[in-house]
Amino acid sequence: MDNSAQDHKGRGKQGRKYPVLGSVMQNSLTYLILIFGAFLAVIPFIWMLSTSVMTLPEASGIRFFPSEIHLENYVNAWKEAQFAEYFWNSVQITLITLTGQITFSVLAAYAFARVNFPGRDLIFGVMLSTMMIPAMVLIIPNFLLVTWLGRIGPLPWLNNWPALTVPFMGSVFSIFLLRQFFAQVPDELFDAAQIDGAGHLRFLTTVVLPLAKAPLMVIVVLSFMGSWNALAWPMLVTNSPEWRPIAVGLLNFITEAGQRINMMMAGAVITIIPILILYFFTQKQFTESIARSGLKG
Amino acid sequence: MSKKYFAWFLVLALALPILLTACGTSATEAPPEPPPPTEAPPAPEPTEAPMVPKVDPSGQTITFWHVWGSGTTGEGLTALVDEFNATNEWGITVEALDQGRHSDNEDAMNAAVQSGDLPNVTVAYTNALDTWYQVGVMADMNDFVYDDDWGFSDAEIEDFYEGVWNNGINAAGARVGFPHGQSLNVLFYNHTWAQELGFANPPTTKAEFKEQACAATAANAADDDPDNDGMGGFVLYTGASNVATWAFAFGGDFYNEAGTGYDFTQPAVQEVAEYWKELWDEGCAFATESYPNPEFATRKTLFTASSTAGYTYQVSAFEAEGAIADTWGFIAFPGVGDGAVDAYAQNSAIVLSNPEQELASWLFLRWFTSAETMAKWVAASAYHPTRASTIDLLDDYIAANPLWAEGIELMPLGVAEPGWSSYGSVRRDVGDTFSAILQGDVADIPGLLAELNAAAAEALEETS
Repeated sequence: MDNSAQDHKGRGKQGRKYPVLGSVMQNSLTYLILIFGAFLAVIPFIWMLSTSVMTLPEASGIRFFPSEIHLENYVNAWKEAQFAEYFWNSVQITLITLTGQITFSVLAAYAFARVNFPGRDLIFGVMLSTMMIPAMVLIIPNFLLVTWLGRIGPLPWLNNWPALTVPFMGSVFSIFLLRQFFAQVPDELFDAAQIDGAGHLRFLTTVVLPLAKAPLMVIVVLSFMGSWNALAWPMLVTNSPEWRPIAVGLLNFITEAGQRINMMMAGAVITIIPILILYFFTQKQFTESIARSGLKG
Repeated sequence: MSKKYFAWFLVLALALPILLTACGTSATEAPPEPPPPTEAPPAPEPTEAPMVPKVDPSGQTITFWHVWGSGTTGEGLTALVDEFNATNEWGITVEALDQGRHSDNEDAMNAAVQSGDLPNVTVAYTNALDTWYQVGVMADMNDFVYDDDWGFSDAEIEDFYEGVWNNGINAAGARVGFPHGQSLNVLFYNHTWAQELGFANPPTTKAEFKEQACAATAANAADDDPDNDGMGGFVLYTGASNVATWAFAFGGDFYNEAGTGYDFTQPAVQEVAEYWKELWDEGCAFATESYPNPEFATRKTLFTASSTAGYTYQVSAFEAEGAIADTWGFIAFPGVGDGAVDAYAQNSAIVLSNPEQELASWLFLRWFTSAETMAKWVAASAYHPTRASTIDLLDDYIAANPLWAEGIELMPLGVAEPGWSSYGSVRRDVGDTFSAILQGDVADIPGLLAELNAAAAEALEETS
């Protein structure tokens, strides 16, 4: 007897008819739920785009789509919020942070994955446990630390790039993600590399890193987003516009007497464009890495 | 390390901080003693010669942290600072740095107190300035005000409106804030719509207010526009300033009888709570997600509470597409007598640094609060002046902005909220309590206000 679950007439192993109609309904229900979920995820972005081209009264009302499209909101938002200056600041801050984070995360992850040293697992466990500490709890100790470092070092930290970038160059999540990946690299590859005279560093750079494009892209995307969207920390460590990032520019549209929601949304659209471009080019590797590791977000 | 030990280690790493936090406070500690009663602050007259050192402020560069970085107000401030930098006889240079909103500026100052990266001049409400004065970073500006060389004459002091002149004085009599502008928390009232509803005059009592608010709500419910159903009366925002203004209008305030602490169980505050609950439950008051300027401009509300400093936003809302061309204006919160408004003084303060920079800061503030400069600041910011003589220099502005001029007549009704350092946290408790009042039952009001009283007393004790 045919062991397949269903023959072409919808009959199963023992000649029973499997309900094709039931399968269609099940699929329909599944797709309906997925479409609803997608709708819920997308609707805030549609609202943001719609509000960004409205007038202020329309934006503050209940209308969802604008009666007229006002693209000049983007131009006005760019000029009023000093976006040019803040945009360049954000680019610099993000690039410096990314470079530092990838460098230190790769090295640390490799050590935890492939180098046996005393206390390795204990240190890794302690480091992992710090992921459970909420970020806001660390904001005051971090501020006191960067203040102290600015006093004792040759370079001022406050109102300068070190305070905005160095605290974020050590990412436990990035180290953990890469460590898990590096640990999967077969030992035979390292043995073969050793035979060829390669040490750990050469093995890392010539063998491991080329294999680790997917997790590295995940780190790039997530770290870029975190750095690009940062607001609370930059507001704390800067009090002049020289190094303020783009998220601070959005605050220009909220004043003590009122807020201009349409301009704020126009500014928000400008702010997320680089993130969208980055994700567009890295989405394949991002998705592949998430699927492989089973981690979410 | 084996998996078993690793798991135990993680459990301990999680549990230990929780245990330490939970066991941090001893249950056997005696409850703190209530603070001793203090006398009300005396009038700010110096009893000995001012202590401004005889130094040369020439060539000093001072930083000024402010909260006016955008729009015409920001442009106006930049122009004034540039004017001072270009024309002052001492060559003092002011670097004005926008810190966002008042709350952002307070966060920045709190961080700067730790880092030492303080400005020379900052703006803030009196309660925040008092907090920083308590930790020793702010100057007592009475020394400068009454100095023979750099201070004000008696005539100049008389020129300041009394309410805002005394607003920057803390409980110990130190002048921690110097007023360079004021705004008023008033009601915006749609005269045209009210007349169409059958009301010839603005309300002068709370009963009249309720009648007009409910009539507007009923009118919106009965028309063909479903978008305004449930709206029309009064936009109710449970901020402390709105609670305070209604309490002032009902003949009360937030102080106890001796003026040494808070009392939110007094009849006026209870009356505010019950009145708001009544308006809310009957649908004559509603909330908006954001500033209600568009709602007011499109007859979705007859009344809204707002600062006069925000009236330009309301004017813009009436000029935008979809707005209804109604006549509107400022009125006092109705209640006892002529009602009341809440007077917010915009205070600047000098941060302690060195004598030269402190004097340079004072010279900038003295110039900034001169009648001529204040007139320009009023025109840029829509704030109201703190000196009476400024009004004489604003004929053109008054003619062009009759709405703004309505605030001049309301200034005598101004009452200030407490300027104690504890008031920063008490304000949040007031807002939370009144939100709870609206969502709860009328019977809960006395209990909620008693809880608020206790929280305020605790905050006052912590900052004493």
